[in-house]
Amino acid sequence: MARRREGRLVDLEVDILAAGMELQGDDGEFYGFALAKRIAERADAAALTAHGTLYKALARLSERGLLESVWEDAAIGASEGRPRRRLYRVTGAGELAYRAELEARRVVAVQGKAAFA
Amino acid sequence: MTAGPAASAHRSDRAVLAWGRWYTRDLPGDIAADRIAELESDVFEERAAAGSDPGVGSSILWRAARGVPADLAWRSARLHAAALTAPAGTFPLAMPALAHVATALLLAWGVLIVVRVGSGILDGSWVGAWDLVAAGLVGLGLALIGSALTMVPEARWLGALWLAVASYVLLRFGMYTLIATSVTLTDFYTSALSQAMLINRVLAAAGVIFFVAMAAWWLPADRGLWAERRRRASDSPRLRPEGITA
Repeated sequence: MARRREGRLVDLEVDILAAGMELQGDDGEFYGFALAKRIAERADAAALTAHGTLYKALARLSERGLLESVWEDAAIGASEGRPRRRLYRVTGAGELAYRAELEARRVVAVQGKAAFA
Repeated sequence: MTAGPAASAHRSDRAVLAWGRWYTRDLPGDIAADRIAELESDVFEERAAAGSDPGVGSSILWRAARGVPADLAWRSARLHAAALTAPAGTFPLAMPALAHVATALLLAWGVLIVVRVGSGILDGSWVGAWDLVAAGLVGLGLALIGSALTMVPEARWLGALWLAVASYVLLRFGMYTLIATSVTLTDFYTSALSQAMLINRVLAAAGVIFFVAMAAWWLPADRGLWAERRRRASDSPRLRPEGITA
């Protein structure tokens, strides 16, 4: 299991924020299964992220203020014949954290290449 | 008879939700309800998206199985968070853990009694009274029902009461049953009669007191021993400074 460095995001959290921002651009918000599906599509993977792994990461990102969530009105789910969804949005802090993480990874990759040059 | 693909798929959904209910059983109600609702939605959406794909049940189960370590880690973190904010002296982690250990020990004791008596009856060496056999079977049955009930959050207090009865039957009479199956224990019993009886009664009383205390501890807050007094206090008319009731 990858160890977390202070202030950094692990791979799954990066994937969640990236896929979440994509879905948010399409529909304004996203829910657990749609997110798992989009992450799998982005990674060209057959298996979806495990329930426990996904919802634990979503809870962690929400606690850090990188995501916010509301429960959908139960009447909407009932009218469509399905359980209500928990709708997530990537917050401004989430977008900043995502960009900062990509930048930090890019710097590490460049330094790594320079060390072997 | 073999079940069709649809039946097995729905069983997989139920299994995932049952697992969800199990690992959220000791958590605060709103946190547990949110996780179960999220799982229900996810499982439903996956099944709906898969259409008639017969492999969807396996996929749902495999997702749940791969997430078990994360589920348990999340549960542990939530329990510790709840324990940090719990009132002093309530031991929200230690008490349920102790109850589950005591339940496991009681079940093991019951199984030991039934197995010893069963093997004694089968090889013809059983010389004890038949009411001891009945006590062993009834006690183990009660303990099994009680332990199953303690897995259901709303019925946990009732399970503890079943376990209190089971512990009395299994500890009070089970010891005599085991004595009847063992020459060594019979010798000890006859040589130290008063000590053996004292141990028997103390253990039986301790078991009953412990599980009755757990029943009170697990009683839902709105039906708890202190709820009525609290309700009465909060329903009392408020006295304004001038002495007029609100």
